[in-house]
Amino acid sequence: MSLPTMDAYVGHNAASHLAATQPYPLPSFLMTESAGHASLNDGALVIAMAKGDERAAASFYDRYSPTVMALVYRMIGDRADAESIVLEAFMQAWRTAARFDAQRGSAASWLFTIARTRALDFLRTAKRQARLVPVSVDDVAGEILAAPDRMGHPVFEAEQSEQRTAVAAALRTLPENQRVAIELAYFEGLSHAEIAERLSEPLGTIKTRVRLGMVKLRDVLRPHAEVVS
Amino acid sequence: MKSFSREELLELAPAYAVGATSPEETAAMEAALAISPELAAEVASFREVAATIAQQQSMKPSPSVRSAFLDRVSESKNATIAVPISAAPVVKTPRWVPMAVAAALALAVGMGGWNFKLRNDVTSRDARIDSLNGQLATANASSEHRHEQLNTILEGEQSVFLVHMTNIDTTSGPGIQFFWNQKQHRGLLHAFRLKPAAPGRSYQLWLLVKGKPVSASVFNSDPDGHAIISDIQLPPTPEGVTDVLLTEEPAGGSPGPTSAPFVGGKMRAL
Repeated sequence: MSLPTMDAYVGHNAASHLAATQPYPLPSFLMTESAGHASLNDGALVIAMAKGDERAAASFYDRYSPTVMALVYRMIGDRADAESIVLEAFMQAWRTAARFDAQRGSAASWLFTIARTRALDFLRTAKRQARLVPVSVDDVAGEILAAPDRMGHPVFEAEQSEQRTAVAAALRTLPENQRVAIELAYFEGLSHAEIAERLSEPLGTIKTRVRLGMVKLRDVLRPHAEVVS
Repeated sequence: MKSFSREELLELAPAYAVGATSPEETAAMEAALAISPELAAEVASFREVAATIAQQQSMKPSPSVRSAFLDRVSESKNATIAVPISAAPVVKTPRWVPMAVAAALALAVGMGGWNFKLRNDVTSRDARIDSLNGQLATANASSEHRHEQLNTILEGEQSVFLVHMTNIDTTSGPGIQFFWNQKQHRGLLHAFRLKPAAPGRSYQLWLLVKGKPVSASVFNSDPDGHAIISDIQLPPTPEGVTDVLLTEEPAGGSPGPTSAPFVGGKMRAL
């Protein structure tokens, strides 16, 4: 059976829709986040993700992928590996959204914990030492700080920017030795003992520095955190 | 095994939040967190501090990461298994689990008064880990299959043809991406918003070769409108192929099209 012409097959306005210049229909997952999801707070997004809401997942990704990427890149030092870990971190967040417990902390801290844990697992599995991007908060690598293409809700964007400013200022209030100890623990996954060995300092000194530094950061950041959350 | 007082555990909360505690200290913290709301609140506050440390900088991932994430999100909604938390190839019982039991006993002797249900939690957790291991093995097999599908697109180098197949309704109608890997003589079809064919019917993909239809694949879509058909065997060359069309046919396909194509597109190099 021979195939009739396309015009005969597809009806009156025949082949126009088959032209190569026809705009390509975007799959739903490529659509930018709706105004509705962009305005949801983090907790509401995670609840929606737990219910299988793909647009909530997109909003959550758009909101935090730049921060997660910067965190992981700082720990891993390789962009391709960092992007793989970012992908796996968000997939884990998607899969375990139903188990998120707001009593244990914010959705952001939950996500960053997932990403950090995966980055540390990667480093330990590869038996590599993280190439530290310079620890100083004043030192901004060329690739970092690029603004995301997809913007979330302007209010959240502004809050995140303000948060980064506040964090940088808070870290500057710490004595250098406290800041270094905390960042070695957080970004390199070192224990007190490992930090003490790295810095050739007594174990008790390192424990005190980490504790005092974190307490001071909490005191400095608490008013700001209450506004953001 | 050292026992930790309430005050010592509270002092360890900041270090625990940034991961600086020793395995012994971590085990003691984990045991105590399960039963002490006071300690849990203290740790939660320092976890927020740790989260702010993470938010010093911003870096844009490649757009492909977003696409991959949302693609996998969509695929996972069709999965029948739950993927475990850890992506490690083998999930071993953490060292702190047996240490946590010992720490809980030490706490009971030292503290007296706190409720100890940790043993039950550990037993339950071991059973859960065994179950997740089985699910992870299944997920890994699925991931490998996905990898093979992507190879059809990514390993064709400069000889991959892409056909965007659309319907008159380009906004909410079905769409298909058809990849022709000339180097490997095989294709991959990704369909979306394509409702499953009627009972007793199926979809058939046709190549229009010098004006004549040549069957390429017979398939059906998933209930959510998605379909990924890989390893479609194709002619050695796309020469002479002008269009790729989709019709609905009797289940199992037809030697020739029996209905008008409702989705189609032109061949062009990727």
